[in-house]
Amino acid sequence: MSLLDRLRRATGTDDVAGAVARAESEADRLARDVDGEARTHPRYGDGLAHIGELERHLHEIRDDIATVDRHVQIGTVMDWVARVQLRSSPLVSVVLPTRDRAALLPRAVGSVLAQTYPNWELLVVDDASTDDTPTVLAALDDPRIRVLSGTGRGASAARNVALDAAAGELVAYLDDDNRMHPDWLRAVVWAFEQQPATEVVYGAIVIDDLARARGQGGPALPRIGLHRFERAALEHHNLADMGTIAHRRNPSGPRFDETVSGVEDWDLLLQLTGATDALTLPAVALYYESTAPGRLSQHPDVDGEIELVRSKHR
Amino acid sequence: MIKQRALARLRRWAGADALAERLDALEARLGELGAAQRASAAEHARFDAGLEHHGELERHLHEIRDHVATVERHVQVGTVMDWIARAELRTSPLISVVLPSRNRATLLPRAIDTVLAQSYPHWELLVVDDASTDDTTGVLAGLDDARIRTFTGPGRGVCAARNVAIDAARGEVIAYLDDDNRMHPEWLRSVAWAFEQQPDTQVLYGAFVVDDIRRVQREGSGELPRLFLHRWDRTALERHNLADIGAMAHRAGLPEAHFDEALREMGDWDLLLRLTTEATPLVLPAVACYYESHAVDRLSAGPTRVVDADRVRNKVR
Repeated sequence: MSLLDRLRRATGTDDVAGAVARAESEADRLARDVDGEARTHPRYGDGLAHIGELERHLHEIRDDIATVDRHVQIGTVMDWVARVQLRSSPLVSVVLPTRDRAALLPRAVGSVLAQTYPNWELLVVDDASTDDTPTVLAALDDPRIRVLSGTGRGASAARNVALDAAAGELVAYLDDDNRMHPDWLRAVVWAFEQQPATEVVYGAIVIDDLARARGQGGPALPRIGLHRFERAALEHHNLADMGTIAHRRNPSGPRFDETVSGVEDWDLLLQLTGATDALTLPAVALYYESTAPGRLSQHPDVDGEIELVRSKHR
Repeated sequence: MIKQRALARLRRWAGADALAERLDALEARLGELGAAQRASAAEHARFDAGLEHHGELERHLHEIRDHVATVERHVQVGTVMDWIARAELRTSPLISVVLPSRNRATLLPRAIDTVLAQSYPHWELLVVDDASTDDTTGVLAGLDDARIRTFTGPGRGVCAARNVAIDAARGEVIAYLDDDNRMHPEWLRSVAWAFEQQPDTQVLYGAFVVDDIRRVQREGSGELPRLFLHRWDRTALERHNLADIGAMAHRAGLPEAHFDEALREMGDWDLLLRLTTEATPLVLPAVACYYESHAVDRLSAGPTRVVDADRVRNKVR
């Protein structure tokens, strides 16, 4: 044995070298493990991303089902309202502004005359029509109908004329190109009777052709619409058409903003729900036809108005 | 100096320096690997959390599936009711309607009217006046339909009163109504049709509408009318009731069709449990009754609720 070998053995250098070599191969093995694991990470990461996507789908589906549920509940509530015995019979003022729709107006008025709830007054505001509207109005002979003259400054100003003259405890609305569901006023009275703390309700709308109503072409078939009330959503977009809204009448308001003429329903609902939530009433309020010419919700400056309303209630 | 230089040469000669370098390198490498391992562990923790979340999603999915099944049953109610309204019945069994009442003289006529308004004519109504002290006697004396029979109950509660009517019933089928509820005009026709369709069915329950379920469950108020039609599940029934008494019907003469007179409020739940020990009930997607939560002294809001629930549960345990 050489002197060097003897020296190595005496100082233990050989043992140390062996241990270092073993540790090195151990480190190699560890490195392979860590590497192998890292290669699986993208796969898990993809899996996680996929789970996130599933979660979004799940939320969408949940919303869809909630919507279908609301639609099914419409049948239940309307059936209930049709059979229930009302405990009160408040006067309901129906506000109906009109201009140059002599051909359509009788149909709208007829849908109020056909209400199963009898204690209403209909305030028709003729907003400076130049067609045969005065003749149509003169021919109406139900004492519950009151004809008022508008100022010719648009539907919002005309509705304010009606609000100033209204005597009802409750206020409902109708536009001249729509038709009210025969049980709507009954449903409104029942809802306010059931829920004394409620200030404003809105019901469901049936639209013959939603695509055409939105100016997106068509044709489509009638569909029912009833949004869940959520103030944050309302601050972003409208949730209810004019004819589906009803509220208690207060001396302090509401008033229609006369600078708004296409999204005044949205502005009204925002005014009425500043302090309390609206009740979503699962009952059909009106039938909305998209075939009438000159519909206000299609007028050219509607985008500018949307911005105006958003900024008012921000 | 000389000694140190000799030592250094000796170290090199014995390979100790090279070993020291390898040890340094190894240390650095292990440090890196350690960091990589910790990073990997953190990733794994994230994946594990994600997987746990996956379990939660699965639960949500089951809830959604149940919800869809419920909505589907509710939609089917419309289909079945439309069918029944147009179907031609081949039989016309007598249906006995059991209606116990106590001190509800103002509500009772409304309940009775909903039986008189049935589109199916072949019924008998057994009204049991359970020792009323108000004008109930006068109300009952004013009824003049030959199909109505009135009885006097022993004043021992609604269960004993219902047993009086069951013992006197002449019908092939028994249905129920409570004095504060209203029967759907097509309900008896639906019952006749269902038992005709399914000769082996002994028991069924239909849908019921509740005006404000929150008030009924004493959790405030403010809910709007909702339809209830629970799917049949014996295990669920052992935990809680699935149908209001006004939504239940069964063939007459069943030995189990007897109310436990020790119960005040939950006789209906107990009845459904007894009737379905052997038999599976038919879930009939048709509205049976309208339940109003406004009536005063509702039994389901009474003081014996907890005691009753315990008694019923103990029986099936």
